Order: sequence, then structure tokens, then C-alpha cells
Amino acid sequence: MLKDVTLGQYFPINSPLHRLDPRTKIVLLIFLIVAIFMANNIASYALLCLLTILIIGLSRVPARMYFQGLKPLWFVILFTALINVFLTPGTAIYICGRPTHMSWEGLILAGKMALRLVLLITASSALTYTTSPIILTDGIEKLLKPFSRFGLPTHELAMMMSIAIRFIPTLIEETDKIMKAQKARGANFDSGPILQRIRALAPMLIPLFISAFRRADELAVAMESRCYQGGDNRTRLNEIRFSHSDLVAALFFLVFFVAILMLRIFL
Amino acid sequence: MIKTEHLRYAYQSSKEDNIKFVLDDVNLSIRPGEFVAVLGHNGCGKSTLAKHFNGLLLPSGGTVYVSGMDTKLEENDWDIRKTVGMVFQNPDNQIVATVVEEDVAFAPENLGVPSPEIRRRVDAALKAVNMYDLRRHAPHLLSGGQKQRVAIAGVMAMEPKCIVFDEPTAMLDPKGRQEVIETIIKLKEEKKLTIVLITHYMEEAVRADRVIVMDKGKIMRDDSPKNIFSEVKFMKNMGLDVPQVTELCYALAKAGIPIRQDVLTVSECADELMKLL
Amino acid sequence: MAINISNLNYIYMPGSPFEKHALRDINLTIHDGEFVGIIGHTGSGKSTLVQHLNGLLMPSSGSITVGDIEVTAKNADLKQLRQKVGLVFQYPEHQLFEETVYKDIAYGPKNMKLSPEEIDERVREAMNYVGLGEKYCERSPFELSGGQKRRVAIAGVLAMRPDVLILDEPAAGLDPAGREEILTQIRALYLAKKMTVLFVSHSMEDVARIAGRIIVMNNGSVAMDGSPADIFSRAKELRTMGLDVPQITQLVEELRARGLNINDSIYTLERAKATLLMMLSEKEKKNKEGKTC
Repeated sequence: MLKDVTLGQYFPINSPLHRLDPRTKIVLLIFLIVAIFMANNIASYALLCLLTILIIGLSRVPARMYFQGLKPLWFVILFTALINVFLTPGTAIYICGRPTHMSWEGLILAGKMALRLVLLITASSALTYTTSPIILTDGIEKLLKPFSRFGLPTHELAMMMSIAIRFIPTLIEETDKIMKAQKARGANFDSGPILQRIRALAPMLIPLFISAFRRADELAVAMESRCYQGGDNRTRLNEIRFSHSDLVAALFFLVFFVAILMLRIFL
Repeated sequence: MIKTEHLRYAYQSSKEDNIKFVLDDVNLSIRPGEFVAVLGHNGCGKSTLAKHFNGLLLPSGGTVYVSGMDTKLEENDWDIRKTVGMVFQNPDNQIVATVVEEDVAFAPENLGVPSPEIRRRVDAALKAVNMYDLRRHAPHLLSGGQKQRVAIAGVMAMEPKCIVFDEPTAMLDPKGRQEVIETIIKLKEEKKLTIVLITHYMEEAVRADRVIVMDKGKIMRDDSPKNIFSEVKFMKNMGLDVPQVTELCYALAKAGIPIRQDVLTVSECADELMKLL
Repeated sequence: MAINISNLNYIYMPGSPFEKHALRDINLTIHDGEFVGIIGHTGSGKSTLVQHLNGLLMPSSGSITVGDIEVTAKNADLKQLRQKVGLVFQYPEHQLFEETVYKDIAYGPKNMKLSPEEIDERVREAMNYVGLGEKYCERSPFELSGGQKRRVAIAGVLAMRPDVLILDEPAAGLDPAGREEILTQIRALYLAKKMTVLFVSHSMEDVARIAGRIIVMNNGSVAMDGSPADIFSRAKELRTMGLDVPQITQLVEELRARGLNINDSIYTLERAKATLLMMLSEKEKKNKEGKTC
């Protein structure tokens, strides 16, 4: 069963990071991403690493969960690193006295890129691990609220997103089951020419779509029975509130952001 | 609590022009605090009837009243849905959120209930269905019976007066089925809720105060479980089961043994047999 | 076709936090032409076990042979295996995808690369077995009733002419009339085709009625294996495994508890009726004798 795979899953515990306003977390993540791309020297990278470790600590989510989040992306990280090592022009690296296509500049660039990717993924995981999808979408909805004046259906978008997240594991499980059932009838999903393979997917995709439509239909009826009537006048179980700790976090980040900026300019 | 007068529901099939009555002149009155089971084979109209009880479907003819409110009037919609909650067959397709307690909070959130009050309702509802300890869990990792109890809590959080269950156990294993039925009975007894249970499992209908048997959109019987199930032949003709012990007594009586035929439970049946043996 | 399972172990997602020992040291022999009921509550490993029999899951250790195919061998011909062992999943109607009933049933045989004539013959034969008449051929499977859809799905597996038929909860979600119909049909199919049938269920009542042998799974192991009479006489143990015991078995248990000497292997209504009638007439005879003395 594929349903147990951690997929940016929420980690339901209580930590200082869990208690932050989702809007603070989203905005700070954006700033952190910008900072990661601005970093261009050892000092700023060291600062970023320190901050990330601090974030992991504050999230109280076990570090191995972060490693697991990286697992599916090792390949991408390794691949970009290799490309950098080989394709960056510069001083060639000598192995056994002979020059190779690898360059020192490339090696350093590769290291930086890999570090950036790891930092990016870890920082985003910290957001999804500490913020339940509903609260996250709630935060996005509130952040986008100003745009609803221009006709952006913010509530509907947020609702769609949270329902999509809710149904990912259910649909993965369903896909697994349908695939097995068609295999039992001799279906072959993993060999043959590409066109044939695409056509072989129909017996899997059609039932999957039908079931998704059925689910959507039933869900709509169930939501209506529970008095869902759009975003107006809705209240929340956990009303998000900008608190003292959000202010502390924001200020701390500001200092940090300025530091990275200074390092970039003056070093 | 719920009253239907000459309720009819028809839909026009697209191919032919003939009109098919899914519900045909249904007259029914459900009193507050009652536990009513509606039995019938698939396609007899029982689910369609259930959807009339909270205004998800509107009658083509006749009237449905919920606490005196006519379901046809649009201004009553939300008051009716608040009064009559519904639990459906597939537990997966009625859970909206990725954390149990957030899902339970969905209905009161929609109703604009203030946060502290939502918290109180969510906790009370989760305790009522015995799921409070799993309130921070992800619903997709729960068992079928647990998911269905979350769905029940989600309805309870609206604080309805009546809950309509539309085949809530059809997709569950025996253990899950047991969990859900015990929860339903507990809600009736402790919270004095009115319960309408749509089902085709006679084991569940036996526990009700009153059983309604439907066939082809009509009410065929409306009586106590004892009277309904002792009509073994009628029930079989309806494509329904009766408890094995009831059937046994019926078979013995047919073979000339002087035995009561309205027994529903194992111990009742044993009592009767011990009298003879 | 006989099935041999020895020392089968299956560990689900080894090395991950979700690791679970789903099957433990399973040793089973299923003889050619047997009708076996496999029962257990959700998570007991019954579905995992049957998915091993046509190579959808591969064991972590142990070996399985089906007929002369060694499933666990490196170069096992899985295609041939899946054709010999037909597996009907729970809610099989969720896998229908073709425009017509005929085409959907033909999907399996088509994958076997058979000639059009052969396919046609098999589709019609399979439809016949599940009681779907000629007029259904060109209907869309999606406009049929739940019970009919399920029969189309079962026919889709039968059209591959398997020697072993495995059904995972074939009656789940059907109403009593639909359940009765499916069970009767499976029984008839078994008698007509002389195939080996494995019937996975959590309903003791259904299994009691049609299986010749029952295997009870609990926590990934085989907990009991024997004739229905053997199994049902151990009602107490079954209940501790979270299984439902038929009312007749409960009644027999209750009567014995009240001191009545009645055979504890009775599990069907017919047997109960016959036995009770016999006991009642004996009692009457004794009463009469008592009076005459």
C-alpha cells in the first residue's frame, strides 16, 4: 500500500513552530527562500545552515523525518551537482596527474547548489510538517484576501486545495487497487513501446476518474448536509491570530535577512 | 419531528418519456426520540426518502415537514439541515479535513459558531462517539468503523435533533458495523436523539423501536420489530432477511411444534426451546 | 489445480516506520477442486495472502507453487500464472472501464492474445456462467445495477478460464437478495467447472453456507484450518478474534450452557431444525412412555 508514504505530511504535535500564525510562517518561508538565493559566500551559508538547524529544533519534528522528505529528491540533487561539476568551465581537476572534464569551480558550484536545494526542501518541509493543510490553506486564504476584491475566489481556491490534499492518500490507495485488479486480468503497464504503454493506461485511468467523480459527488452532498454555504460568515476552530511569538519570529528573521544582505554587499 | 404527507418523488428517465415514481404516496410521522429503521432491498426508494428528510431532495408531490418547517421553502434550508444531520454510506467520501478534529469542526464552522464554542462542541462530539483520544489523527489511517464514527461526530457537532443514517455500515467489516451500531444506540439513549436508520441488515433493524419496510417506493409495513420479523414469508418475498432464530422458530412451527414465532434474539429463542425440551 | 504454500512470510515496507509483519510462517496445501473459505477480520492478512497466489505480491521469504508453476522462482511466468489463478477483488465493479459489457469481459482474453473466435466463445461462456443474457452484450456496464456490474466484473475474470478462482468479499455491500444470488451462482459455478475456489470473507454466515473447508486467519497467521463443523464448534475462540458467529451457532452454545445435550457442530439452520425436531419427537415419545408406564 502506497498510502502510508509521507508526502509533505503534517506532524500533529505541539511546538513553538506549530503555534505560529500560518501567515507568519508562509511569509517568513518566502523571505528565507529569497535569502537562500542571495547567499553567495561561506559566512552566509553558515548562517543559513545554523538557522535551518534552529528551525528543525523548534519544530520538534524528529530530524529523520526531514531526511525522509529529502529521499525522493536525492537523485535530482545529485544530478544537478554532477552537471555543475562537469559543465562549469574553470581550472581542471587533475586525477593521477591527468586533467579531467571536472573543474574546481564546478565542484564548488555543485556544493553550493546541493546545499541550496537541501536547505530549500528542509525549510518548506518545516512549514508542511508544522502546519496542518487546513490551517495552511486558511493562511493562504487570509494572505490572498486583499485580492478577492479584484474577483479572485480566494475561499474557493483554498477549499479546493485542502480537499485535494485530503484525497491524495485515498486516491493513491485506489490507484494501487485498480492497478492490481487489472494486472490480475493480464494488463501490462510496464513494458512495450511507448504508445502501447499509454494505451494500456486506459483500463486504469477510466475507473480512477469515474471513482473520483463519484467521490466528488458524494462529498458535495455530504458537505451540503453539513451546512456548507461558501466562505461567507465562516468561523474557525483554531482562529489564526498574530501573537507575541509571531512578532518575535518576524523580528528575528528581519535581523537575519539584513545580515545576509550585508554579507552579500560587503563581502 | 419529521412528517411526510402524500410524498411523491419522480424522475424522468432520459430515454423514454415515462415518469418513474421512486417514492409513491409516502405518509409517515416520526416522533422525537424515536429510533426508526427503514428496511428494503436496493432500489426500493429508501435512500431517496432519506434525502427528503433534510431537504437534499425536494418532493415532486406532497409535503415534508421537519420540526414543522416545510422543506420546500428555501428560507428553511439551513435550519432544516441543522436540525436533521445525515451520515452516508462511504466514510471516505464525507470526511473533508486531514485531521480528525478539524473535520468534526467543519459544520459548526459553516454555521459561524464562535471558536470557543466550536472547541466545546468538537470535544463533546468526539467524546460521544468515543474518538476523543484520536482527535489529532489523520482520518485516512483510521479503520472503517473509526472513520464512520468521525463522520457521526461531524454531524453531532451541529447539535442536531435528529440524525438520518443512510446505510452507514454497508461498507464496514463486522467489527466496524458493531462499533457504529453501538454508537447509534448510545446517541439515542444518552443524547435522546431521534434516529432514522436506513439499512438492509436485519440485525440492525432488530434494535430499533419501529421498523418500516419499503418496496417500489411504497411503505409496505410500519410496525414493531417483533411483528415485522415474525412475518418470515413476507420478508423473504421482499428480498430481506430475518434473524436466523426467528426463521428457525418459524420453520419449527410450520413442522407442527407449538412455539412462539415472534422471537428475535438468541436468548429469547433458547427460552422458548427450553420450555419444550 | 493444487496450491502449496510453505513457510511464507511477508513483511510490508521493510525498514520503514510502517514496517509490518503481515504474514507469518504460513504453511498450507489446497487440493485440486476444493472450495475453501478464508475468514478473518480486517488486517488479519487474508487479502495479502491471496494476492501472493497470483504473484501480485511477492513473499519476503518462503515458497509458493500453483500447479506446476513455482511462483517464487526468479523466472516465473507471471502472465501464465495470472491466467490460471483468477482473482476477483473486493468491489470489482470499480474496475470496469469499457463502453460495453462485452468489451469489458473480453479485456482479459484479449491480453492473452487469443483469436477473435476464441475470445468470443469465452466471453459468451463467461456471461452465461454469471447469468447475464445475450441482451447485455452491447449495454454500457455503467448503466447496470450494482449486482449486475459485479457479475460483469466476475465474468471478466472467468473469461480467462482460470483453474483457481479467488474471490475477495464478493458479496460486500450487496443487499440480502443480491448476496443470495451471488453466493448461489458461485456455488453453481464451482460445481459446473470443477475449479478450485478460494472465498475470502469476513462473514461467517456466508462462508458456513458454501465452503467445504475453512481457514481462519488472525494476526497474519493461520489460526484454524478444518471443516465448517470443526471451526464453528470453537465459537468462543472465533469471537476473541473479532469474528461474528452465526446466530445458530450462538443458539447452540446457549442451549448447551443451559444444560441441553445438543451437538456443538451444528451451524446451519437446516441442521438445527432437523436436530431439534428429532429431539422434540424423542422427548414426546418419552413423555408418552412415561404416561403409559
